[in-house]
Amino acid sequence: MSKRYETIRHLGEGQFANVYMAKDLESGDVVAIKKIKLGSREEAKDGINRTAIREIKLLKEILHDNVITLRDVIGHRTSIQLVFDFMDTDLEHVVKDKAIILSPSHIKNITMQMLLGLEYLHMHWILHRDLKPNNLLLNKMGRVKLTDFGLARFFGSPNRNYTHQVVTRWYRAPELLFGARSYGVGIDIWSVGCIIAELLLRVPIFPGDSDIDQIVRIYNVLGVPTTETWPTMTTMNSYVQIKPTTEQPELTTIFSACSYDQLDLLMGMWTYDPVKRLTCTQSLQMEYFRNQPFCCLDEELPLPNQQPQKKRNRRHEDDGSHTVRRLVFD
Amino acid sequence: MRECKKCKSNEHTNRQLVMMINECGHPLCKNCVDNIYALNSGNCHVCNRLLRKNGFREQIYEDPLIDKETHLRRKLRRIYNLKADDFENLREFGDYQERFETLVYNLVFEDNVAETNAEIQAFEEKHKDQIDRNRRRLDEDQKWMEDCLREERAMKARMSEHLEQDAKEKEATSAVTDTRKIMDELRDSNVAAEVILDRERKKQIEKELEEKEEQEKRKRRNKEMLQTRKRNAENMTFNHVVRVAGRAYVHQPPELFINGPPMPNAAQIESLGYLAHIRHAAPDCVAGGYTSAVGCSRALFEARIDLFAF
Amino acid sequence: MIPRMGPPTARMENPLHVSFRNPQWPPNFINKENVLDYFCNQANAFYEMNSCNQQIRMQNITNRSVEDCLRTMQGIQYVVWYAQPPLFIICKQRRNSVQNVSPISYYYVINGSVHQAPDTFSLIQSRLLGALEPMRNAFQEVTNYARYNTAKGYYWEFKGKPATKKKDDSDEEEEKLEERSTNFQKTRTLMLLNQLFVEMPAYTALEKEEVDEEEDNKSTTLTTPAVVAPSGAASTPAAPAQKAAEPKFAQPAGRPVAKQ
Repeated sequence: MSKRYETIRHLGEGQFANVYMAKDLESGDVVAIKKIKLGSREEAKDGINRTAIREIKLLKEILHDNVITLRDVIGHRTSIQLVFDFMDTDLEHVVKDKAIILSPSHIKNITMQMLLGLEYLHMHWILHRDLKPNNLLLNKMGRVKLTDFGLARFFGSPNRNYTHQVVTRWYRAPELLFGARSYGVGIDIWSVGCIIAELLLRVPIFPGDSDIDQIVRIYNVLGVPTTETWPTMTTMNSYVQIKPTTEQPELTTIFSACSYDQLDLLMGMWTYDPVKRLTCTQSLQMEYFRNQPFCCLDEELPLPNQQPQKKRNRRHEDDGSHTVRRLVFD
Repeated sequence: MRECKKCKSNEHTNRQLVMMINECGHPLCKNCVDNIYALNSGNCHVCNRLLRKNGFREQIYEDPLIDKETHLRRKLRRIYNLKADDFENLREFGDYQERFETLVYNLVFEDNVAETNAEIQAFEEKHKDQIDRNRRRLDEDQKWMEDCLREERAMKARMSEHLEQDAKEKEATSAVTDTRKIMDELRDSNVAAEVILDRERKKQIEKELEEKEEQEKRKRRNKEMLQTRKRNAENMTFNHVVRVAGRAYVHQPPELFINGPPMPNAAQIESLGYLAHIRHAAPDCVAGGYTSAVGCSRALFEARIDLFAF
Repeated sequence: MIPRMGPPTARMENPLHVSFRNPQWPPNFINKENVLDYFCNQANAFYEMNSCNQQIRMQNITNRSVEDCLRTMQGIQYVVWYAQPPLFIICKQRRNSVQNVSPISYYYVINGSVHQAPDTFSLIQSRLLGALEPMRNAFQEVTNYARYNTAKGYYWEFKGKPATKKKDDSDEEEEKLEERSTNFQKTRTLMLLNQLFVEMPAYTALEKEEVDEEEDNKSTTLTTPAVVAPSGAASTPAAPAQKAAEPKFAQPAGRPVAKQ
């Protein structure tokens, strides 16, 4: 490790990297350092890990409140270390912690933060392609940040064929399940819809074991798409016709405590035809965000394993785009 | 800092300096008084008037003049004690008061003393019965106050009597059966009397202890209940006005700073015919969500970005 | 606050008239623990689906008790207020903070059916109406039967039905001729006449013509006083006539006075 950062402790391990908590000796901030694993000698000969490259290439260009900030890249011989902001927890822990109750205003806030970050990404022609609660980090000030750009890439180029094996299966859009080689922002939006449902129900809504099982589960909840709703459905690569196992229930029985505008947003995000699906900008302009209950402040988001919440003061106003929703008439 | 004119002792030199003053208004310290007026009478050291030793009283006010005046007022008020309702109208009462003030002034500043004294005497004789009545009238006020106090004391005594009686009765009733039983036992059984009495005494002590414990427990329980009730008490407000926190979020799509000529939006791409030059997307691409508009937008974006930098 | 549902007061039906019943639950099974589950049913018109209770159920919170969770949440919630089977009372309240609630309304569950507890105003209003409406009707009905007649004064007529009218007509005609004057009439006329005589004593009368006529028709002395009497106080019968007249007044007149 360099002389600038002082490791505090080991946080966790992923497929490609180890994450450590450290302190930036220059600025005094706490940071997270992701040390990319080297693997075997042969792999090391091939060059720097692809995920690391993707992350660096994309994250170095992105600066947004709701996207993780890459502070520094430390290259030392053949090892690569990425320095990020330190985030206390992630959305998966929040959802799994049964002591937390998410109120409608909390859910609205998380949704908004997600969509704002994603809008920024899509505007810069980047697809995240791995949205899941695990990859949505939360710090103690209640800021949600998208992270893990290991699978992210630019999109919009007509010649490139993309792989369809992206996104964790439970959050995978149907076009990916049907093997589409060209896709767009719709896949991220579908994942956001699944994440919102998970926030509402506190369990993943489509936990499929396999690709086919995944499609079946989707059909069971949303019904089978028809050629009227999704005209180009049958042209897809691995399109198979599947019958749902159970009858399609009314969405209001599943999401019983949801308001109608929230259900409208969800249905818009779960439109089968990706062309008709909501985009980030369209989602943010939906009535849901203008209606009551208004979204809460970031500081009010419940965090797991917490003592009685003291007032978390915001030490500095660091953004311009969010000031609109910060005013509290209380 | 008071200083005796005679012996020049002041509060520094004599910690226990007590200033005395007589009717002529010239102060003297106590030691000097004792010394000079050992024979109970003498002349004042300033004005040479004949004074008596027991005419000296302790000086309260710093200014001997004030002391003299207050003394004179008190004396005269015993004579001039007529009240407002002794006069026919307010004007006369006012005149009377003013006259009184003039008399006091004369006496304090030794102005026409003999005349003033004569007038006072005349007044006293003239209004003798009125003065007497007024003297007694105040006594009536005091009498009434004393009556009230007496009544209060009597009531308190009565209350305490009642309480004592009640307590005695209670004891009597509870003790009656017990004593009878005890007496029967003493009479009939063969066991020694002391044993029985001991037992009874022990029982009584135990009972008292139990009672004490119960009282304490009750107190503790009440305290706890009060505390829990206070903690959990939800207060209710009816028709509470709900103040809504936060504000509706109206989204403004962020501006993408291209540093180049402005990008056409989705509608313009179609209308301005850009799409005519683009390879039409295959249906399976459209199924996946990639339309030719996407590719077109991307290409336009890439073309325009940072053009102004040149 | 959701615009689509409209303001709560402008409901289609008066909520006091609505009741909810879940046929799947036999009413005996309802106890303090599950009465809230019984109430929190989508079909229940009183239950709002975006309430805190429903949010807790949607999120499947099982580790904490419902009351505990509700205490920390803000918004509309339903709590069991009172339980004594078969009666349970559920309070719908809006929680503003951990310490402060605003009750909105109360619902009681009796024997499996849920009703809204009425507010004091409606209760008193309905009771008053129930008491006053029959009274008003009664009074209205009764006023139809009140009659006034100069002969009889005020009286009630309840049997004035057309069915029995024919019979009465024949009777009445006969009776009319023989009808004696009522007590009211007797006393009233006597009093009036006496009063007139006091005011205008007979012996000061001046009109002689009528006196002559009376003397001519001595055969009809019986009738004349009766004729004279109605003709007015101005007549001044002679002293003997007066004397004869006075006792005559004491007797009931033969001719029906109804002629007047």
